[in-house]
Amino acid sequence: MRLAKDVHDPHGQILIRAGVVLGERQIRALRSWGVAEVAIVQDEDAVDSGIRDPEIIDEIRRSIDIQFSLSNRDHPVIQALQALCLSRALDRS
Amino acid sequence: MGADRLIERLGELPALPTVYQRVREALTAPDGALETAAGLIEADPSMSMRLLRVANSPLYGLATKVDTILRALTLIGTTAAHHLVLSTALMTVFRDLPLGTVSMRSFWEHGLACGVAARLIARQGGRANPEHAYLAGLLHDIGRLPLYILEPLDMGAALQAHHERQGHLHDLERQYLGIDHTELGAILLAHWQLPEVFRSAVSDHHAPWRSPGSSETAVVHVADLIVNSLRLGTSGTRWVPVLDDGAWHLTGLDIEQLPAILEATITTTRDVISAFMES
Repeated sequence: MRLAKDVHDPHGQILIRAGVVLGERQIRALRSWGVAEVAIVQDEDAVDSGIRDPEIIDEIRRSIDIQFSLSNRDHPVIQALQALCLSRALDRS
Repeated sequence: MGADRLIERLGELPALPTVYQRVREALTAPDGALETAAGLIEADPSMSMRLLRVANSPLYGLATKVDTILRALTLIGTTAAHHLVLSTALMTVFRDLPLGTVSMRSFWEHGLACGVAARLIARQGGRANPEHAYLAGLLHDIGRLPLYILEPLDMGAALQAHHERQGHLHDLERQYLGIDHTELGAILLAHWQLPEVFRSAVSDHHAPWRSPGSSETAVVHVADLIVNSLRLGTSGTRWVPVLDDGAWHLTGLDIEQLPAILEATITTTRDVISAFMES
């Protein structure tokens, strides 16, 4: 499903633009902003962008691991950030 | 070249445009004359065009499109107006200079993303002034410009060592050049007569414990880390820095708020960078 209208925060700042395909990550973000309802358009052409090739998944994981290798990965905030970046990278591939 | 010599050469960098100095004087005058400031900006068509484009971008979230400078300044307020004129002036002056392996657009995209993230963190955490956080974030790596422009060979060597994961870039800058971008950045901001809150955030964003209690510094430290994680532009840093736990707590954020901050930072930065950078 695709977002039909821009979603704004109380200050008028756009949180997510119209046209974005809503995945689990976007829905989680909307919930954390306290957004309970959004307008959607059915996206008949939407394809499952989930990656199935384990080699590609491993390559993305390795790349994100290296990106965070000089940080303090025992910190829960860094762990959360790394997980979010991995999720984005997998979504985009 | 030694650090002292490098500091002496900061005068070789482009100066901020006269229009900025005069607008700043008008905005900080006791009567805070927005009309005077607007008149000065309108006398510079290029600045006017860029400023209106940015004012109408999602950065300010204005309800209706504005088509006059005075209306834009009135709607966003004196503090944001000053920051908007400064950021527009800086990105114009430092737009076409070569930075070696880092593109100027990518440099400013990183700064803008950090400013956007810092403002979001300040709003969500409720501890720092959002407008101060925005400008501090935008300027946090400004000290890298003189390193790239005045010392391309040594900075290139530091960058290469960083890419080989020999350490964090700011540590390698000290090793190769005897000074790092945080110290140079604070000197530049002092030269431009910007207040202490910005100088602290710039000088201590990699060492926030040196500015205990400075929410803006803490917010910029966390924003920089987020933006480096997302790789929204770059000022040269390739690897995610170390998070200071004290700074994280000082922002007032919860981990659960991170996904939304990341999404909004990505969306706003992509929508706004062209407004600043296009001719």
